[in-house]
Amino acid sequence: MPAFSALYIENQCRHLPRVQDILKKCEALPHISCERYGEVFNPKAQNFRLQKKRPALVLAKKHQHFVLPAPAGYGFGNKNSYYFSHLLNCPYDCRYCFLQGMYRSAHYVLFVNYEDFGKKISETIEKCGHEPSYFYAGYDSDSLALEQYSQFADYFLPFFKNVPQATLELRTKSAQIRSLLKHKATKNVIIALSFSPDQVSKQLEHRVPTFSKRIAAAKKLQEAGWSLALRFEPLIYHKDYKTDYQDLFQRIFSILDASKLHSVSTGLFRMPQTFFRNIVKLYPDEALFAGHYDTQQGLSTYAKEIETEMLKHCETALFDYIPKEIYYRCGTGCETT
Amino acid sequence: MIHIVVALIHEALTLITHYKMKTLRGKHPFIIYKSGEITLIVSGIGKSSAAAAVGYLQALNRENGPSAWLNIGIAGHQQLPIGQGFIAHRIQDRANGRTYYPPQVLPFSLPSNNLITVDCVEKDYRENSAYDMEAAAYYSAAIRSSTAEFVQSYKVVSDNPQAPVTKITKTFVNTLIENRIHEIKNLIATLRSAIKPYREIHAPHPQFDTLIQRWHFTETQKVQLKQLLQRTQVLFGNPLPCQAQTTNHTSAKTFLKTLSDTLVTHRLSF
Repeated sequence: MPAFSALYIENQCRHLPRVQDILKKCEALPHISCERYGEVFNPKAQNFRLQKKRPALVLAKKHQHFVLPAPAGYGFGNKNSYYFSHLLNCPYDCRYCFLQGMYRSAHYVLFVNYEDFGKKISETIEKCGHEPSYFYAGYDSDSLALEQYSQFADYFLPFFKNVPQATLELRTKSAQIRSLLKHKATKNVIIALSFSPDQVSKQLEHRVPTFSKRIAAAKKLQEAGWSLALRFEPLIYHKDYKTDYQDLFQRIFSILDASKLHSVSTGLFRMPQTFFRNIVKLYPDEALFAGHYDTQQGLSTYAKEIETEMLKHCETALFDYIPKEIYYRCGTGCETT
Repeated sequence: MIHIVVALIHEALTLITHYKMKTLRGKHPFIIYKSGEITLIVSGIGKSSAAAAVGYLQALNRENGPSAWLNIGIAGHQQLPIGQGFIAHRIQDRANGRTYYPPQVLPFSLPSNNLITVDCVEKDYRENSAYDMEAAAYYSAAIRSSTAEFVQSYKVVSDNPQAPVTKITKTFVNTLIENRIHEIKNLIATLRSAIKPYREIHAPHPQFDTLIQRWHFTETQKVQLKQLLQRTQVLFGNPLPCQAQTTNHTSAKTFLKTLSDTLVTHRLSF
């Protein structure tokens, strides 16, 4: 459970029931008023790494850009792919995450006007006509990680249930699935779970629940009829990566029913160079960034031959368990959960 | 390194005694005290004095790496009782409306409150907030050289509608701070323990100074050297790996190339 250091509340949304509910849950914390969340979140002289130890929760209202086109190569839908972010930042602390390099602050910003998101999502679906549309909710955060406060699932699951032509992907590393299990499995909602080998997770995915907790949660979801997807993004290159990824796949597919999976994807470590530089400044003592990285079209990446070798190996290992039809490579420039 | 900024000498006396501080020798435009890693400057009253004092300490310490800043002083408050201490979590400059939010991420275990910086003594206490005459200027100046998490303002309530500002005496100010010395000590200790690892992480490699004496490095090469040494240290520890021993090289360029090659061939293991 995240321990916030403080609550910042935009004056314009203090009166909202969703906000009042969160304020009640966090009565012991300082409640600090602000006009716009950017006053707290955007100033230059802030240190993401220091803030990550005890981030604050900022309750704000979003005014524009509710729904954005998904970056090229992100997700499983080719056309009509969008993302929306009700939350900025995430309680986990994955060293490879691009958010560290993109934001100056590690505070969580929760946009509480879900109804406005809903309106814009409806408009977007309408624009797509009879064509299917895809919405990703885990691009700037972990979809379920602050669920206890956000109650995101309570609003958006029933919402998407009513629009079967649209598909929602929730991407998470959380093992807290109560909020999902209290709803009936919804056909057009995909729960995408990210996994890394144990050794990688222990070193790089700080505060993420253990593999055993997460795979147990995944099994429960699958048994309850939820459509699951698996994400192996980013693939982390290291000395024993071949055996580590093979072991990971073996462990996962001995527990989950591969025939019921919606999709499986891999993604390479790719990050805009400016974000990468910011992260190296924040974590000069991090071994992940101390080695050599290439630059390809403004992205910091592993060397081409390493990428090819890793993909080939991991894909071959994966196809022992899953059909090629449900597999895709994620080709975006950023990785979060 | 912790820099304490106070407006009045009577806000400083308890700290000077407690930390056994000595006057900093030399000609300075402000009274400055020092003890080990703590520096205290007496700025005088008002925003411009506070900003100037911060600027002066920044200039004096520009080679010393990251520092933490703490403004300590008295403040009026609409509701809080006299003698209550708190950290400012929101500082507003009434004159220009600018608002700052010192991040409350370090575990201070202290109450926090709004603080409004005014140009003239506040006698009306119109808002449920504290009032001082320096914090906004101090804060905006200090965050030019330090990350905001390490810039904090601590105040002790000296006046409120029931006990107006006109009754404040020098001895009273001293007593207010003296009564809160345990809180101030904890605050300084917290800042100290937070900034220590931060300074260590950003400290140059122990061999950096020796290496730049050995060959001629251009300014760009010095930056490259700093980064490469840091990365090498992360992956191989100290001392440098054998292929990067200085005896094998004849110039800065060849040395940098070897360091860089060493990193290319390294494979991360967990």
